[in-house]
Amino acid sequence: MAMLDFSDIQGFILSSYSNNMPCANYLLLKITDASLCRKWLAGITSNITNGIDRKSDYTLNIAFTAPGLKALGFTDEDMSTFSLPFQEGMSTPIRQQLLGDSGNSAPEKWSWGYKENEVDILLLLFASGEDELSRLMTLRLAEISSGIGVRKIESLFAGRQPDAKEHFGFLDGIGQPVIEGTGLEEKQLSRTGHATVIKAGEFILGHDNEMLQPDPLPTGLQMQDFGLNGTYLVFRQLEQHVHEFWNYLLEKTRDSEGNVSQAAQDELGAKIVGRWKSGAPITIHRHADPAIPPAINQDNNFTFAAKDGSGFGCPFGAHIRRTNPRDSLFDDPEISIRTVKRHHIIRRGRSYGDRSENVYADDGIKRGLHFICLNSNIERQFEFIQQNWANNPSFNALNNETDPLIGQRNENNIFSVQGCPVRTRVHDLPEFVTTKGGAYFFMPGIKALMRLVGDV
Amino acid sequence: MKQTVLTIITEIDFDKKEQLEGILSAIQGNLLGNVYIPFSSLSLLHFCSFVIIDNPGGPSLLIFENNFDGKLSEYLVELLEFAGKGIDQLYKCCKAYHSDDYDPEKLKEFLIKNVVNPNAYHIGNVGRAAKVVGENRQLREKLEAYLDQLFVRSKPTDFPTDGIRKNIQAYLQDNVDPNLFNTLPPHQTFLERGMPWTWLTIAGLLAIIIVIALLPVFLLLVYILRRHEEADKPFTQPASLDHVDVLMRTENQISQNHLASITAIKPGVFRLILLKIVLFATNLLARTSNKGTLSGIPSIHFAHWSIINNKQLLFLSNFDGSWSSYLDDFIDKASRGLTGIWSNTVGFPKTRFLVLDGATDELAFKAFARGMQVPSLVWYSAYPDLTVQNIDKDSKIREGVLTDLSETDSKQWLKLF
Repeated sequence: MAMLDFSDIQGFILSSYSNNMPCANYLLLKITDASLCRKWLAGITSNITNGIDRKSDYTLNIAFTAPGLKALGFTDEDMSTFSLPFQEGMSTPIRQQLLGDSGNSAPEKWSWGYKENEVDILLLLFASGEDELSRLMTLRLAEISSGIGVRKIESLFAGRQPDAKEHFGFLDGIGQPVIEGTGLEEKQLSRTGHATVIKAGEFILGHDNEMLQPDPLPTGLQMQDFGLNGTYLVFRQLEQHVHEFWNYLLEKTRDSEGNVSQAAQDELGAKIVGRWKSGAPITIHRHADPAIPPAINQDNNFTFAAKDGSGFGCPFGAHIRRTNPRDSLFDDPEISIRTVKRHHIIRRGRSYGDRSENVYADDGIKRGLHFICLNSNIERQFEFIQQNWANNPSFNALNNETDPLIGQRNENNIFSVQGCPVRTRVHDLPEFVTTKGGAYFFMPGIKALMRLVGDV
Repeated sequence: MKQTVLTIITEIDFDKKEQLEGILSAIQGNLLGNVYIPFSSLSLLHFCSFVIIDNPGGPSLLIFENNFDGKLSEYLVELLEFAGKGIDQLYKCCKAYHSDDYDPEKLKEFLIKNVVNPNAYHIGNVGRAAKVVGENRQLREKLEAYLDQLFVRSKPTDFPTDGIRKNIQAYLQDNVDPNLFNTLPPHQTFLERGMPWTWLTIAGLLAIIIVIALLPVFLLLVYILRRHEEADKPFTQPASLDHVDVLMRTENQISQNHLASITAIKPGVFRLILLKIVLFATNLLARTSNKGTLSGIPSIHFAHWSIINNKQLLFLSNFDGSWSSYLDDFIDKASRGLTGIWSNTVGFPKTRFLVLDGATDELAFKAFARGMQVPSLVWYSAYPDLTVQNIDKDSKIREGVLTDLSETDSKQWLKLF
């Protein structure tokens, strides 16, 4: 088992801070003067939260894009040691096609992460409350305007949410892999009734992954193990069209007399997500959201092949069956589980924007998810899930379907709901989610960060 | 219906290579509307590709990959009827083809002369002709639309299981062209299914007898193999960004992808013979596959290995999904098989006893695979949105639509939608 040096690992890799830091701001910066910037970074390095800090007021973490590292002195040779998608960035035509960023999600329409809005540095601020966050932000913004060699591209606020549900109304962030060596297995087990322990090297560079070998370790600034204890951070701003989602459910479940029913909408929604609003998996709870919610968190210990081989509970194309197929990827459940283990990500996203008061009304408020995930190999993990599972029109031998919740839309997108004696289908799924920005970042270990700012 | 898998390999005239590349890029740029090969008229064709292999110090080779229904002679009749003049233009850029005026007989002769049959091949949907694949898709689409219509005013649960089937059957008789649902022959005849097992058994027994009878020789060979493996030098450089970029630019345009790779066989007779034996065994095994999988991989339409001039190993594959998922399938399910094959070629990751390690070194193996891959200059699929599993499901829908099925079988059949 990997021995992890928690003092060298940024705290964000080990914790979402969601328990005591409900308010967040993601500051996206462009370097305008490298030496000033380095000086500024040197000043804040000691404030970067690591894996042994136990902070109660605020946390601060940092990550860099490839252009950011180049601006701070990384040579072309250094850069070639990084993962290929990281080197190229998220908005190249190849990446765009692979991630399904077309139409409204095309990089040309992004509010950040493309061309003149390209980003170098991501500063992640989490705070215990609104006041604390605003104090931190005032400080940071004053700093930036005082000339520290960076320009603000965006400051993305993710405020306190009433609960752990995302904007469509479903409990989110239930399934989460446990990093081997962090001792967090018990915690996850008691929280969700299920814990998948994954080799540290899948999420923290320099350690063995599920193939019992380390993913390539980036080098840079004459530091052979620059990448040690670092990870790749994927950031995508995903706007959610809540009223589109619920109006679609409403229209598609209207009966032949034109009557609408909340139960029918909830059921179709649950079929699309694979979970009821409470988070209860539809594979287990076939007909309705369980009446007593507290028990549902214990329900994450389920498999598809054994309990739901025909998709009569959770449809073959449902969001959670695509993004984590568990034992149902291939005919052989064991091979499926082994394969799926090599394609996990740690999700660290947060909702932004106020919750809809009326989910059927277009209130003009922008809301969505600041999707963030961590992985050691962007191609094998994040991109793989996105391309081969979520956006794959033939996933599970379906025809012309993509992820009904987050998938890229083609003409006449269909969603099949398997059932006995035969399936039903809904047609013309609109776009429920639009990509508004994004970038691939590298989140270095603490020692590497010190080298980067010139402290060692 | 038997399918044929082969390549036509010719040497390119150095002075005309650019011209050839121009034609190929014109074909790829307008696959369905180009003036050279009207692919949609080729009813026997499943997949087809053109690839160029550059050999330092020797002539470049044009590889024309063909996966089609029936015999070569029948295929060539159709190919030359619709694309003869265009193909003639292509081969005018190759050596040893002299054509002032287009003469179909001469071209046919030239093509046949340069056919290279694969040492090993795999077919995903055995016995399903390209034309039938298209018909089955149409049938499925019509039935899906019918079911959607049926459930506008009712729910599936309003019907007993056989009620839905009866409705479908009634709809068929009145509304669908009978050619879309008449009975299909089995994928393979009894003999076609049985013979590969017989051959495999005979070959297996022979192999055991030889090993036992010549045990000292066999052990010596294992020793020689180990010596080779210890001395072999794997490639350590990852494929260049530019090279990967060129490859990725044409990938993922449709549900399927194409992989063409060329590797140099390690020098010496030992590796060449070993490779031939492994491919022979692979081919015997692949012939027994009738569930659409190759060593458990469910996503390959057509794949083949050919040894060229006893020097190079050519691999061509038409598969479902992305390159990364294909390579993962290889690693997870068939690492020994493919290590057994490619470990006989230069640069492959370190192996032990021919089949161990090698491809399980994921990163090194993927770097090797990318490095050896060559761009598919032209690539055509007759059914770009259908996976092997889609085709199989469509076929099963047709096979069972009019058959008398038990209650259990009816339930299974309805799950195909």
